[in-house]
Amino acid sequence: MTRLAGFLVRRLAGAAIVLWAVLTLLFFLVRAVPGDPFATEKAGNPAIREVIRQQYGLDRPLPEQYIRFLGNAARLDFGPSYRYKSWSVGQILRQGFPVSAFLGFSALALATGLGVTAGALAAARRNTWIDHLTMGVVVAGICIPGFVLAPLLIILLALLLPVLPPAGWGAPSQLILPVLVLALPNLAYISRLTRAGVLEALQKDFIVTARAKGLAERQVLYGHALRNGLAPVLAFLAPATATVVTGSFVVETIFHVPGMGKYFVSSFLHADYPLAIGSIAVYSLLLVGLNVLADLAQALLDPRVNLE
Amino acid sequence: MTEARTPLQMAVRRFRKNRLAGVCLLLLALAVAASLAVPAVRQPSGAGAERIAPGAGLLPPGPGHPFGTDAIGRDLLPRVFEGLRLTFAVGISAIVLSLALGIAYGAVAGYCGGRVDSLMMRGVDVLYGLPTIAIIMLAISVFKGYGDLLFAAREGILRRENRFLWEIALIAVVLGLTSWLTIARIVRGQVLSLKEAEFVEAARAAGAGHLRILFRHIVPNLLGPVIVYATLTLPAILLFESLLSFLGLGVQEPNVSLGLLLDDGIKRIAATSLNWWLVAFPGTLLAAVLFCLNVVGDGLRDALDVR
Repeated sequence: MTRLAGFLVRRLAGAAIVLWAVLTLLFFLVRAVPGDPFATEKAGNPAIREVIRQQYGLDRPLPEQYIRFLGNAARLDFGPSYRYKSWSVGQILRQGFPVSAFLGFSALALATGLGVTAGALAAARRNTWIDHLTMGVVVAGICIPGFVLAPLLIILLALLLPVLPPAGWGAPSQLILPVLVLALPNLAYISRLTRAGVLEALQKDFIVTARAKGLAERQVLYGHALRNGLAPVLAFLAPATATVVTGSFVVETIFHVPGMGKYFVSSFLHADYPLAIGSIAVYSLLLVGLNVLADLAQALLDPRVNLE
Repeated sequence: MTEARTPLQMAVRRFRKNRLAGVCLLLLALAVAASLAVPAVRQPSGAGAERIAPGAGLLPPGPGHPFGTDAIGRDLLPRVFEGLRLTFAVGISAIVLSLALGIAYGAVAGYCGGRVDSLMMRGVDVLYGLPTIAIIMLAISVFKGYGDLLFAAREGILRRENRFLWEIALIAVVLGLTSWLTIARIVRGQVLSLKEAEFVEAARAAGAGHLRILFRHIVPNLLGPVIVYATLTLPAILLFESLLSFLGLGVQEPNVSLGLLLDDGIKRIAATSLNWWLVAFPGTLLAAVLFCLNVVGDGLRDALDVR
């Protein structure tokens, strides 16, 4: 147990260093962008612009700005947005995140459930129609980008055959298309990883043992091979969850979903740097946190994992 | 008596057995040829104003314009292949840049070993923790800002062709700068084991310097995995280029990319007029190219027996 605690402490310290590096890089890169983010405003008057800069604390010396920025970031406070005047970055993200997270978790649940089942079945019945169908979906998921799939689905399922609403947020039926578009690439990776993992596990000696002692094939497959083949899926799920849960710009724009995904792009386009830094920080925090969790789960599931 | 074969001949033999990969390679060659020929044959030359036909906007596919026309009457067929040409150009430049960076970085780290190695690879670990899309957006903001300043300061070079080249170079450089991490890791791992090989010892005994040993003796021996990895990374880079143009951060009108065409197509979908061809043709072409590249990459991996 102390080894586990030490492992956890080391991984958390590593995660904190990565987060600090991300924030520092963002802080200085944003200041390297030429041009004044407030230049587009009516504040043509330099005196007025100076007042605006003072409001945002941009007149302070750089080291002071940096220290203050890190201190606030540690409390997840990224200050007021440059573009949405009366809103703080925290308020904006708190509004968008639940929407994106709900959509993302739905898509991920679908992708994981279907992907693990399909991958395990494909591995168990190699070269049957189930295997071919699964591999077909894998190829489609990897080769058809969301911004191609989404408009085609809208044309086919919302306009040509009007069975689903083309866009919007609120009704359960409006969830279906964005969830499908978000789920497909993840479904592809999860099925492929599960299939490969189970196929590899089926070669192992413990499978021979399990069969030799007379276990039913179902139990060999689901109780032994699948459990041992899921490690790569777990490793994939950590970064995938961080990406999907913080929203996708493409999906949220095309389907008019009021999530936080659109800020990843629009905040840069409008030079709204606090919002840009805030949304990236949320993503990075989730990413490193989930990676630590995945490593921990790995260590708990597999006693052979070296904790040193 | 069996003929002796070089490893390369054996790899070519194995690749030839893979029918699907062969077909896909052929299709890719056709796509490259079409992206060079179709725009030249089917499109009036000039700055672009001649292509506009106000009366012929948003025509569905039919005789004279098999892919339909866009909102201002431009024939979609040459535009789709012009977009593909740009996507290829950006993707290949980016992959060359990322290979150069990744090989140099990984080879030096692996060859030096010890503290230099762990420091360099720790840097790669930190960069891995950064969200790619955010770094790309930031890098584009920085470069674009300075580029605009440059173009504004020197009116003389603000010609359309220069602007176009600058846009392409910007995307290629940014994508190249953000995709070399995995290559560096692969190369480092290979170099770590290769530098103990006997032929390296022999080269050292013959008096070769470090740089010569590294880049003349070691690097040519790890081209197999590097080529395989490059073919499998290329689709990801092409996808990113289309995504950037789709988001309005890549090339701008009147230049064209598959992502830009898709963005335009999506904006023109309406319940009253689907305008499906604006999305279907560029989308299908993009998906087909990505599919072929993936199949060829997998085929190369099997043929060259990498992992």
